[in-house]
Amino acid sequence: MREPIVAIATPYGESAIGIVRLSGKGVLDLVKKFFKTKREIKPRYAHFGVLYDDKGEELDEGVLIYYKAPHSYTGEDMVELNLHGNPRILKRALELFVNAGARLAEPGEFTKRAFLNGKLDLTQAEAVAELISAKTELARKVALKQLHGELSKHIRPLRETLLELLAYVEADIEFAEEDIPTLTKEQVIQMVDKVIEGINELLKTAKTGKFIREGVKLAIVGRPNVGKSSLFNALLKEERAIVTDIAGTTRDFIEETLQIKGVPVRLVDTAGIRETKDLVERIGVERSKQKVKEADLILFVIDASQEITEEDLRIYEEIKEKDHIVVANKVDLGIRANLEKFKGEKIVKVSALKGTGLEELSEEILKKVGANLEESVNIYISVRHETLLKKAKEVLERFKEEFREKDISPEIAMLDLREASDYLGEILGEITTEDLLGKIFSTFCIGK
Amino acid sequence: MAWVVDEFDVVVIGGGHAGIEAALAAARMGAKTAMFVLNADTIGQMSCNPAIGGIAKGIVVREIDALGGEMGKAIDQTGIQFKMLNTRKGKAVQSPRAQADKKRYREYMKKVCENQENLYIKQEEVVDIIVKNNQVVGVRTNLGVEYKTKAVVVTTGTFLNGVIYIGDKMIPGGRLGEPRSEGLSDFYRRFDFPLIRFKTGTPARLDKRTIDFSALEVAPGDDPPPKFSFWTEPVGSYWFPKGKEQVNCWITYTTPKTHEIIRKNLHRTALYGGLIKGIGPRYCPSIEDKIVKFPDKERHQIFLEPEGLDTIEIYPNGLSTSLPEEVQWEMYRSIPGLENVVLIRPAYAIEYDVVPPTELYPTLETKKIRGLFHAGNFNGTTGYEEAAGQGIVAGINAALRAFGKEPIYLRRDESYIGVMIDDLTTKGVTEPYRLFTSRSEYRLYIRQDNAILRLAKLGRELGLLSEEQYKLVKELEREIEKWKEFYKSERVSVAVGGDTRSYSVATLMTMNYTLDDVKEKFGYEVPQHPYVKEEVEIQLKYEPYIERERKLNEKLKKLEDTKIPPDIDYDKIPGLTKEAREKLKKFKPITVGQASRIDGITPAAITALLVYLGKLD
Repeated sequence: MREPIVAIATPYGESAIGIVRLSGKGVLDLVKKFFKTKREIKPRYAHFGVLYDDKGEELDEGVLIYYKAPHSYTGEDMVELNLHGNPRILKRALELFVNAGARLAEPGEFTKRAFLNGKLDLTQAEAVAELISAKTELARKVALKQLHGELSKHIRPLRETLLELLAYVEADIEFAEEDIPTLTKEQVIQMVDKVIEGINELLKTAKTGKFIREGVKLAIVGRPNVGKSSLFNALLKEERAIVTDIAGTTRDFIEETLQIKGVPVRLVDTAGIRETKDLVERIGVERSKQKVKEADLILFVIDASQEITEEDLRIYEEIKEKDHIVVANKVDLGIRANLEKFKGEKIVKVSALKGTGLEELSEEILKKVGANLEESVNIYISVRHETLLKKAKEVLERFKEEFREKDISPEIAMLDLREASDYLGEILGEITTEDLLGKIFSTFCIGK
Repeated sequence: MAWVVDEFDVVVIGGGHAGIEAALAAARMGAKTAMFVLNADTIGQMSCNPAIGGIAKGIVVREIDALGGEMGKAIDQTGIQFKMLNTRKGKAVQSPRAQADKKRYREYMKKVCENQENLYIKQEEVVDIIVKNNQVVGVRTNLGVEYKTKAVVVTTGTFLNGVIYIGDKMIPGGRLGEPRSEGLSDFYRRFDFPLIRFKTGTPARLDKRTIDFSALEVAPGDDPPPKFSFWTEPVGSYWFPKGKEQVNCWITYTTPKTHEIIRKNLHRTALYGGLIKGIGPRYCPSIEDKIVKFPDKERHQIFLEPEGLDTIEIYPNGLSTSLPEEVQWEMYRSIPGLENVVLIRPAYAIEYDVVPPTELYPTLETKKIRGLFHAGNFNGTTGYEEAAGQGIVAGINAALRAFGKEPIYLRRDESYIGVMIDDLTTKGVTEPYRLFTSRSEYRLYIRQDNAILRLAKLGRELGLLSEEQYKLVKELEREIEKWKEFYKSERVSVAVGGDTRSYSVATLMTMNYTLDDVKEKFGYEVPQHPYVKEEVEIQLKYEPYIERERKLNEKLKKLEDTKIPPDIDYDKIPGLTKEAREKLKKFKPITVGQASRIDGITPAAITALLVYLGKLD
């Protein structure tokens, strides 16, 4: 077992309970020096007792739970001390244990130990960090599923298919003299295709994965006075932006975070984009353009009660290459706009004022960001997973091409299969480098 | 008190393929060496098939040759048919194989051993090894005679407690018709070495005059045929000249009737009848094994191979069995061409004692006793070439031990011998071990064609290659480098898919061009020396891929280079599971790379080890 580490596992500030957590060699003996219970401490039992300081003075009373290796989170001996949530008490307790030989834990060190002790694979360790930092219900659900090994369950079979394929191609090399069954070229390609398909399925979840973890940046864009701020407010369901009927009221941008069915959305209301001589407004327009550039999705708003203007079309030209939804606002005033001008576009008709069409708009937003939120989809990959999966896919595509076109000899073709399989192994942490471990565990909070 | 007759530096127990290379290497390095054999007439006997080489195995023979060993020269002199296998695939996975004239091979080996300076052949059975302070000091024979020695190499092959099975008949023996050895088992028990039982088998030998070859497919040798030794005439090449006289082999197949006979009598085979408890080789299985394990396969291919030029015995490769003899007759006669065949020697299975090779360091010295080395089938391998490859390493290190010098070990990235010994000593064996090219993660580099370039330096350092030999290799190497540089600097325009692009001549080699193409199309001069020419072509073709292979292995290599101090205390390493701790204590790996290949050592354990060694965090 490793050296004992200690950390306060609950957030700083006054609270009902605060927890001090220890893991490593001899932690129970270490805590027992200061924490006195009536009965002998048994693993996995809650023991009430009193915590004394090094001068024998009573510090607090609380509950101790002891986890014996390997049946603990880290796989080592662990003690969790539930004290009163006063920062001063917790800090004193921490000092006691550090003076007695425990070291202050680094961020994520408990989880790193769990990984090093084989309690979690790398995707699961990552899930722990995500579970802690999950901002929405959906993010929490996704992280929990990953913690339960859901992602590993999808990656492992792909890696196994590659290993099986390697075995076949190898057999063809090794048993040249013996007439053992080998795969035809077509069968090999089929198996590789199967893996690529599996990778593609996972890659499809990358965008949503990113949105779930980091949120979607949604910019509301349109010429002045088409009701952008009203729409912004309607979506937020609270009056936050100042709404008037004077064009150019929103001179800068306003940003808010909301959730649409568990997907965190960062909604940006931009200043109306128009040619203007007003300096302040011009700055606002410039910033708006910047926000448009950064956005994942654009809500392009037009006033359905009026004719489409040149300005509408000019803005449309600017944004049409990006992911966008055309929102026809003010439909409660009747439709006068010639929507034919946006042929081929899905147009969502809403009235921000009356609150109609907003449900449809939300759904369209989710559809556009690829948040396929069916129950059957369990996993959403992270950027790290995406990078490795893309590398694996790239190598497999190269393999396919060279294997089919160039009639490359098998011992060379094998390199690609091996490389691809290594990338998948890297996702699971079965092939690791020090940089990778360092990067992953440094994103954790202390005490986990 | 026993009578001490003589004193040696190295004693080799056994005169098979491992024993020969061990004894010759030790003697050639200047160690006074004794080879103890049960029968001095059977030195170099081929117990099973009359062939040397095969996939990966043929590369090992060339590595042995590069280290000054004998196997390659012996087969070049006594081979009767030579082939390069896998020619439809790349050079890296090609391998030479040859049919041997068994009698001539044996006679050649005996003669070389007899004429080797410093080598003494003794027809006596060693029954005990004398150990003082965990150090070998001598051996004792069955007649009670003692010999002093500083090192012992045990190469008992299938002879230690060998039991032969033919149906329900059990005959103690090391080969059919030859006695087994027994005494050493007691020695190993006394020193608490685990002994396990392994099984192998050999087919019947058939009377050539009773085979109808007219309906059979002929399998001829190659022209020009590959040779194994760089030093066989023409020196400095791996090819015989065109037009070498060779004999044919033949191909036939088993029939549904064959399979039926075997199925009906399965319970009468020693293995399936339950007599044999030992574990047999998965990759060189008996015919009954093949039929049980591949029930859907309608026929199995059989090679009929002559055992020699002056004998009528034919070896049916692929038909080893432990069926009772009368069933064997019926079974063999169900095969096309063999309808009236007469058996000369029956097929049999043999079970024998093996000490798990995890008892050894990669120098092949036992961890328990200084100066005690193991090599060959006794380590749980199968095949003459695997045995010889271990033999030469054990012999070299036994001599170095006797001289009080540092031992050597071959790395995985420089030779198949290194791959094999690393596999054996770190993973152990659960079935007889056979080499494959896929066991090596460096196979694009450790090829058959460059064995001499990879190992000649070590061979020279050990004194196993002469100054003159080494000079030739260095000269060729310089030539190769010079030509490679030249072709890398020359650029030509080539039309690819409508576009004309500029490539270096070297790059063309990766695009399936040959040097002759380059000469013909662009008028470039090509190397005169055939070996230089072949090597330049192969090296240029493989270089970019070797680079990729190297990158893939970089992570492994980093581990490989991290040495574990011999006095490491695994109990002090935090984060190791009990299982990992015990495994590491048992295997005593010398590098982290070796540790990572031990079964049951997880990436987590390796990370913990690296953290402890200060290589992480």
